[in-house]
Amino acid sequence: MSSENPRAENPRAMTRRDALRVLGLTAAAAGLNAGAPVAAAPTGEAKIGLAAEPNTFDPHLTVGRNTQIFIANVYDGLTARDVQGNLVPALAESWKRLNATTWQFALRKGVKFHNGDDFNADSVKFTLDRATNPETKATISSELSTIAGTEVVDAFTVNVATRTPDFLLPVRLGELFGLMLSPKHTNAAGKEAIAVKPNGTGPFKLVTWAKNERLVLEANENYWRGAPKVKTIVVRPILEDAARVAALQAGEVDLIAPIPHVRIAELQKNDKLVIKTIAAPRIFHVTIDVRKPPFDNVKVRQALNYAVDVNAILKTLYFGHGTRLATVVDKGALGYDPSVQPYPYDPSKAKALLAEAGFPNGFEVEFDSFTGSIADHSKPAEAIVGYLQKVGIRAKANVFEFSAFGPRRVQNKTAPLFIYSIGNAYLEPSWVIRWMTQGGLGMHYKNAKLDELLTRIEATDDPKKRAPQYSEVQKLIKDEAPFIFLYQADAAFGMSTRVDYTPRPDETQWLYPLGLKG
Amino acid sequence: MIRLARRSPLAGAGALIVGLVIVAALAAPLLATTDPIDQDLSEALKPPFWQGDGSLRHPLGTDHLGRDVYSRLIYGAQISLTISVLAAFLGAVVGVVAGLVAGYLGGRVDTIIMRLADLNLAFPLILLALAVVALLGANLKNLVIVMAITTWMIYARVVRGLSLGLREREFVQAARALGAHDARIIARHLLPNVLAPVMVIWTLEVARIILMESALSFLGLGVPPPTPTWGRMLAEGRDYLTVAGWIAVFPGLAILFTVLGINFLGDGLRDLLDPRLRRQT
Amino acid sequence: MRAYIAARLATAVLVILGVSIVSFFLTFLTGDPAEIMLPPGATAAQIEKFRADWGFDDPVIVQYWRFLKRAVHGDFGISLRHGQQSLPLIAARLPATLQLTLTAMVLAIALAVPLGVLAATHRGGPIDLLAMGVALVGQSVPNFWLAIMMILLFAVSWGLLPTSGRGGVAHVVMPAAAIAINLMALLTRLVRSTMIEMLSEDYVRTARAKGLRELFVTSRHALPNALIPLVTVIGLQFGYILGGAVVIETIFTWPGVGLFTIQAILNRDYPVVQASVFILATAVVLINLTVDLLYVWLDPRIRVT
Repeated sequence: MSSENPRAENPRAMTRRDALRVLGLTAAAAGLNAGAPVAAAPTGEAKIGLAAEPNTFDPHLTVGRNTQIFIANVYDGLTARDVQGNLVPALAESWKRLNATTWQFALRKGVKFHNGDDFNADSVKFTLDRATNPETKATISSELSTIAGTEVVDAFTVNVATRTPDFLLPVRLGELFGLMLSPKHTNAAGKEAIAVKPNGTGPFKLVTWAKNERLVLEANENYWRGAPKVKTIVVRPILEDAARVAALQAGEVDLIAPIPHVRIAELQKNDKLVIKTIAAPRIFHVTIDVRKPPFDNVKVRQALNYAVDVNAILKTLYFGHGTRLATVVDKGALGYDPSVQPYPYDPSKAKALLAEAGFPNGFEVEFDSFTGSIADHSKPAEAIVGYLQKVGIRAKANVFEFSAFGPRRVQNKTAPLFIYSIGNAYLEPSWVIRWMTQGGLGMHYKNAKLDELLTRIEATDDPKKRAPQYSEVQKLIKDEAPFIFLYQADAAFGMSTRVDYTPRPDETQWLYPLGLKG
Repeated sequence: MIRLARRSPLAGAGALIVGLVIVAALAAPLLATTDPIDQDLSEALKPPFWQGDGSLRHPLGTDHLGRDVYSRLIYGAQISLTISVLAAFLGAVVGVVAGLVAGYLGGRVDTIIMRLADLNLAFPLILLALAVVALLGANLKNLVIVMAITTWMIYARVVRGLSLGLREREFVQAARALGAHDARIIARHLLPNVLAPVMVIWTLEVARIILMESALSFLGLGVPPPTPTWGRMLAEGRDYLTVAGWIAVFPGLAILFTVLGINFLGDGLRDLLDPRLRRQT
Repeated sequence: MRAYIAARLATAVLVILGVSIVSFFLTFLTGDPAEIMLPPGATAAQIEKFRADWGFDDPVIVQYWRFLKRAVHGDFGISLRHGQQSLPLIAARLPATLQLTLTAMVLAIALAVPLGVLAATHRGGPIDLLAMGVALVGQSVPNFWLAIMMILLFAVSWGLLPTSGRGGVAHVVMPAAAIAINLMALLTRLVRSTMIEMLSEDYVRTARAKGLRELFVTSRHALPNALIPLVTVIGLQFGYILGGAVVIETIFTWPGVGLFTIQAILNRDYPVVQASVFILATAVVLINLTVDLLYVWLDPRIRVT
């Protein structure tokens, strides 16, 4: 459900991988068998402890970001991200827009699925048709709803038509929602089998899966990028934070994710362990119902922002492992503008603004939060409610269980204030902001100028030209304050010194480059 | 009260402990030093006054939001005790009555009651708690009902079993022969004979409910924040066990202490009821 | 006797059906999984469409009837989250749960019965006090706290036991102990209390008066009757433990039914919840039936209605 900032903190490990990739690309382009170009045979076994395991290996029935970020090891999409978050070719070597509503993809030649089936244009058409077929009841159908149809131009070229201009299509058809299936195998095996016995083109094959117990991946030696370094990866789901950390400390696993923030300092002192953090692009915010007075008054909304000491929350609840956000654009997203400053903590200014708006003695309001879900929202919510009360806003907290909170959102029955977070899997602020201005799911802020700015941005294909346009967007949103702006938290990975792994900032648990030392 | 203590020192000790806890619960506003839900993030995770940079301002330290652990503990007594005692009592009343009636009357009544107990027992508590919380809201009243629903079956089954046996006993037969009403027989002859095991079960149940409350809080289904209950404090402290153990240790000790007291009381009372029981036979 | 068993089995089916109906309605009433199955970027309209595609917006009764029709053939539906048949998914978890709960119960009984008997026969003495002390502490300890402490001590600090996961003796020790401790305390106290009752009963006093040896008296006359409430409580506790060791299973990531069920409940994965409720209800009902039969065997005075 969230994605990460692909801006790498540690590009040093890239060089060798880059070389391999280039070699792989050249070999494939020359039409040679895209087997392992020059990499040494994979060896060794790595053990990993994760907080959750995928719910299925059927790319069209995934639930939750945790599944998507993991099954990308077994499948490939048309595009992928590199360590800096740039969109790079994967199963598609290049793509271009033919007209406003059609994208053309030139596919990589010589790629085979794990079972030997060939990857070609038919695979793409089959996969996309299946995803958009109502009978599949795909859980990702909402993200691919812009697709009108897929046309096979020749064996290695496809045209994908969209209902409305969709500048994000190449990203959608990448690792996110475009993992490719083999038509022959999928039809033969059936839906239930695909969930547990996947057949992809990715760097690893799924060998064993005992749910809640362990999952074993084995290297795909014929991977088109070159075989991975490690032969076997054993994944154990360890739900309990304390047990997961204990497993790492005891040496039962080589790598764990995530590490609770409270344990990071202690583990950093351990010589046998290496801790790496990345800024996860999950944007925490409090949605304000701008339709309901007094929240239709921008002064009140700004007062809310001055009232909460977000830096203190980051320091105490996240132990400093997070980034204050001025708006709802995360640090790693395209066009993030650091010159837009966040609202400072100023409770007297908050009270003054409230008085100006006609509420010198504050007012009462309800505040929704929830337990469960993949990140903790109830603790920050408690802290925020506390701050609001200190400036006279008598917030009454309602806490729901996550699945019970869902219907409230959908039926627009949420309190005027509710905490939430959204993972910017597309690394594109427009996607987040469009979602936040959809007029449903409890979010009712709309602004014509904002729409206009976004539409102009979305018509710009070149990311380098899109980026600077976002500055104005951020300034506008900050001044309008339709949310209480909060933060994004870091995600921490812990590994033993024998593991060579750099977490990918878009949160994809990309195990391909994982290496073992000694 | 003093007579009680003299007859059974155990009951006396228990009564004393429980009394202390009850006093703490009732006098919370006087004994607490701060508002239990008052946050101060700059004071978060401060240790108790005898460690590190702790101070007497927060004698037992602060939690992750800078709230005073001592004050929360005192107020927590109020709530945890209320929930547990009420739930256990409610469950006991319903369960004992059900068990006596089932065991004594037998036949269809027995079958219906026992099958209801079966249904209740076979029903996952979590689902029930979740449903109640989701549909009716998470508040004290609903939680008491939920937990009472999980406890009555124990009494019902045990008491029924005992009733089945007692029913055949001479003194019961005699009473029946003398024309006593069923209700009277149940109340005068059966009830006193089952009180002893029921008392033991009750004390254990109060303890179990206190712990169950913390399990529900652990899963996010207990009393909602920021209300301090011992169970909630335990659940919150769980994330900080290795860096700020005091958040969980003190409510854990409070639970232990209270439960101990309740058990002493229960045991003592059982000892006292014993001679009376013997007199019945 | 056979008529009794037949009648009990018939009502057992009713009970299981009852549990199934109530749980379906409750799960349904607390929200359907549409919102949580779709990616967060889904709009309200898309959620509605998804709900229609999956049939979540049909009336409850219609949905339950659909479920029931298939269930009688053993098909509890495909898990919404895992894409596999639900009943086999749950059934695959039973061995793990049984391994854990049976170990815990054996541990608890093996400690509780001797302790309780010793305490009752040496009532008021130091052994009694010690046994009661142990029982009291055991029953007051929050078991998840104990579990985490055990992991920190035995697995991390001393490296004696594995931190989590399922396996053989080394893996099952800590979770079983965490579950057993509350149970053991409860059983010890119950054994002690009922033993004390029995020891003062007429027929025991009569047996004693006849000059039988103390030990003989205890075992032949008192113990079987002391076992009645014990058996009852064990039966009841098994029901609790089977579905309720969720917290322990979570901490140790023990792949049992409890953990799987609670995840399914929180995910509103109806088919799995139904399959799980069915299996658990059946287990509990069967155990209760066994307990009732044991009653008759243990106390010949009880007439079976």
